[in-house]
Amino acid sequence: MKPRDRILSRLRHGRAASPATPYPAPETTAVTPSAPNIDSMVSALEAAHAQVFRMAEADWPDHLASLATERNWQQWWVGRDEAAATWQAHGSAPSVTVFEDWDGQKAALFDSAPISLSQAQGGIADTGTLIVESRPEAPRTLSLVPPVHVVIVREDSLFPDMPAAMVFYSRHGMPTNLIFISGPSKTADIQQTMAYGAHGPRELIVYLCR
Amino acid sequence: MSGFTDHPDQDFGVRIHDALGDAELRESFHGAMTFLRDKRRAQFPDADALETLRDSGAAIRDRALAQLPDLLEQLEDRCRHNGIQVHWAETADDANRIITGLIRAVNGQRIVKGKSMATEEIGLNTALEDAGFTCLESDMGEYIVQQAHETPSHIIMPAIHRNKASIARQFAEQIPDTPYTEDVDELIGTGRRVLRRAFAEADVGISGVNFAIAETGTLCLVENEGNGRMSTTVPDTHIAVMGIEKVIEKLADLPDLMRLLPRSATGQAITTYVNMISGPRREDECDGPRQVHLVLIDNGRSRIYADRQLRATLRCIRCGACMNHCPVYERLGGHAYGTVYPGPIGQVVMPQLFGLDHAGKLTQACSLNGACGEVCPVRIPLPDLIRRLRHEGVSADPASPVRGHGRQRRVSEALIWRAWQWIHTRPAVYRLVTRAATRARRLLPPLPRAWTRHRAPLEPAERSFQEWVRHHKKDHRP
Amino acid sequence: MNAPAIHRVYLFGTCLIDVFHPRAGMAAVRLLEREGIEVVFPEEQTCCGQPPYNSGYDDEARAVARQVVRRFNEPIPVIVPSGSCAGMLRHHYPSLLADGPLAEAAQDLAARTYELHEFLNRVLQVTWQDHGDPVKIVMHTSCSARREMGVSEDGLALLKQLKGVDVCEPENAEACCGFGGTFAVKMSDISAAMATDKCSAIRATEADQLLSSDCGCLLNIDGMLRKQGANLPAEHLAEFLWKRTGGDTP
Ligand code: SF4
Repeated sequence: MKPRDRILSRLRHGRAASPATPYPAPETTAVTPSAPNIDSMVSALEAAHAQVFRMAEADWPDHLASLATERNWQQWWVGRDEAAATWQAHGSAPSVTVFEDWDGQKAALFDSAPISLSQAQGGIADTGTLIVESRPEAPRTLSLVPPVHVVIVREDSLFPDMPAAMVFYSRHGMPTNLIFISGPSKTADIQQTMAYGAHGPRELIVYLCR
Repeated sequence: MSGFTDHPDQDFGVRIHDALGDAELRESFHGAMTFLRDKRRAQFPDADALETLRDSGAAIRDRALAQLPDLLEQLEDRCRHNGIQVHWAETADDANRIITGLIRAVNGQRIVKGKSMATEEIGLNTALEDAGFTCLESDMGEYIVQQAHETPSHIIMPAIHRNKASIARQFAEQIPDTPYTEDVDELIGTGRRVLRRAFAEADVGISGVNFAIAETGTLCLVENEGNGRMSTTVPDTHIAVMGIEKVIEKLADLPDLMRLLPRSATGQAITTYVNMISGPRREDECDGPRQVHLVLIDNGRSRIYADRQLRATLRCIRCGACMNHCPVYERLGGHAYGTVYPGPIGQVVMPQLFGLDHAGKLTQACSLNGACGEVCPVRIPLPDLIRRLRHEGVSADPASPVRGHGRQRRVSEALIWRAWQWIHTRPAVYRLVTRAATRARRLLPPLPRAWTRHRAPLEPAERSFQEWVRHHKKDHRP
Repeated sequence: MNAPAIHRVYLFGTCLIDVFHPRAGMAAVRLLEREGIEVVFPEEQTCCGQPPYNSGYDDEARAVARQVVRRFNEPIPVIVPSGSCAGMLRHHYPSLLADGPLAEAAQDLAARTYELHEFLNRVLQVTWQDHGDPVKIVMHTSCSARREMGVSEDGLALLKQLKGVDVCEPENAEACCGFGGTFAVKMSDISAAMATDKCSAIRATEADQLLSSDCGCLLNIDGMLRKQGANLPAEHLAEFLWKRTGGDTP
């Protein structure tokens, strides 16, 4: 017998020899609210140290352009998603690199990519969470490697809570990598003192668009 | 020097003594535990809602365990379908052999690892070193601990026994071009700098798994730092290692577990990242690992599973709340246990993994105060399990399901309890004894020094309560 | 809400009260009798079986548990002036005796077992007048009373009825005092470390007196306080309640 079969047969044997009634599920569990609570999306993200801007969808490029000037953000890294296209069309950024060649661009991504911009496919209002799927047009490392990450997300793409999101993915299937992001990277591993930017982005900037 | 051992009973007393004598260590743990307890409490303002949520957590994990072999088959099937290669390991050695083989097969040179208790359990780092590989721990706490040649002292916060001054000294000594600083942002910045290089160059990433979802063949990893995402995204090969009990039935089971895990662990509403991996990079994707492997480890779990009561051990989601609330752990710290899993869950898991002959004594370091059982998000009855293992430790029953059963039995103690039973099942004898104790008060055999070293001697009353009752009854009867 | 009419109860005296704190037992009897209840005290009782049970000696504990279940068989409440012994009867007898002929009887006993103060406060819903001088007391609730029995509020609620009594709890009130039965001897250093912290917290309250409804904790804490030379008398809660509410020395 292979290890696999031995393990499975031990489990089946153990179960048959001492059957047990599983712990009963509670009758009342939380009910998903009918609509996402935008305020809670904002406050939870802010509590997690993210910066949140709310505006009409058409307005974010101008707003971001002035923020970029203020912060002196020059070198943008993007994928081929909607936010990238809008940002490139806006034309205000001095340099926009499209990340599409892992082997060729990986070193530069780690060494000289200060800021990335991407579209989130959705969010979870209850917990202040952005939902980011890996897709051909949306490389997963863009939300991870550059120290500053700007995310565009639509209010109407938000789920009220995590159960609602799970219902969706259960129905539609999972992408190869589904990532929930609820703030910038952080750690409290040194004497319980919170520090941001442990390995991922130090700053998370969210445009929540109508 | 701290280290994990497969015979934690050995020198347990010495380690306890040393830990209790280390004022700085006790200060660190007291501060950290108070902090974590307060944060957890703040996350659960509604006691009833918390109890319902714990019911749900227990039910979800128990339902998964009830179908464990079937869910594992389903998980394997879905993972294969998604392009994840699945491997089964019966023992720690088997797992290490499989992982080493996988690294050799891709000619891996630079290995990074995200925090994983399963790999600690199997001693993967040592096995890799023996095979000629070095594996860099990338979680900040694990990195600090590995660099100091120590072991984690807590399952969630590995460097919790260290204060920032000692970490500052370590970084200044061991990392080139690093000035001494106690500024935590700068210290983390240093770690970030060193580990970024390692991530960029790594060809193999190893991680644990918090939950594996059978329905979709998904590996779910929960973290704040992003090192887990780095380890599972950047290297060409990702090897995920998990105990077979970690499987859950479906995506819909995840939300309640996610409501429980980070809050119970660190008092956070949610972790920064929930990383759900359902396959390697697809043809049309630009990044992500080209190979994903899942190594399923039994390592004694199927034996735990075979006992109806002890099976609850396997519900554990490794949140660490039980140790955060344990008054013994708070005073000893994690290293005194000598085990990968310290604190209450360690006192339950370790004797079952290593045998009661090697780890049975751990079960004695418990006052049965119940604080752990009260906070466990999946309602593992930890005090009951500790008591059960004490029983197996002294049980002569050959049918005992736990290895090394009976090996904690001492003839002297067994005789004491026999005598105790003899007296306490004979009320007349019992009354003679209590009469003697109350009359002879100071002539009693001296109490163990263990009691009187710290406390005044016990003083029986002049008359026992039962004597009083007999008089009282006479007075009151017509 | 009307208290159900109860005329008879059993008292389970516990072995520690029997030998070390008989006054607590006497007070329990008086407190119940004052409410017009007949207290039945079966003479065949000894101990609930916790010491061997918690040490893993289930057979020895079972032998004693059987005796208790058989003897306390009338369908009347069983009152226990100790959270941990009450917890043993209510929560552990059913599993300890689950596989034998007394399984049902153990369940039945568990269902009518009460911790004394729980019974006074919740079932009898007593109301009292305070007859003593102003005093500040510090209350230590045992882990069994708090967690296993869930009766930590009852003792405090009864104390709150007493006008002259200023009640406080030590910092980290929910922390274990380190007793744990044989734990105090088998792991004496850890136990002492826990007891030391508990004693410091208790002394920091600057209360005049320490109360607890569990004799194990009392022996442990009071033993250490006396060794430390602290002037902080310890008493069982029942005894204190009896004296404050007009009872003479029990
Ligand atoms: S036993 Fe419970 S409290 Fe302890 S780590 Fe496991 S899940 Fe958390």
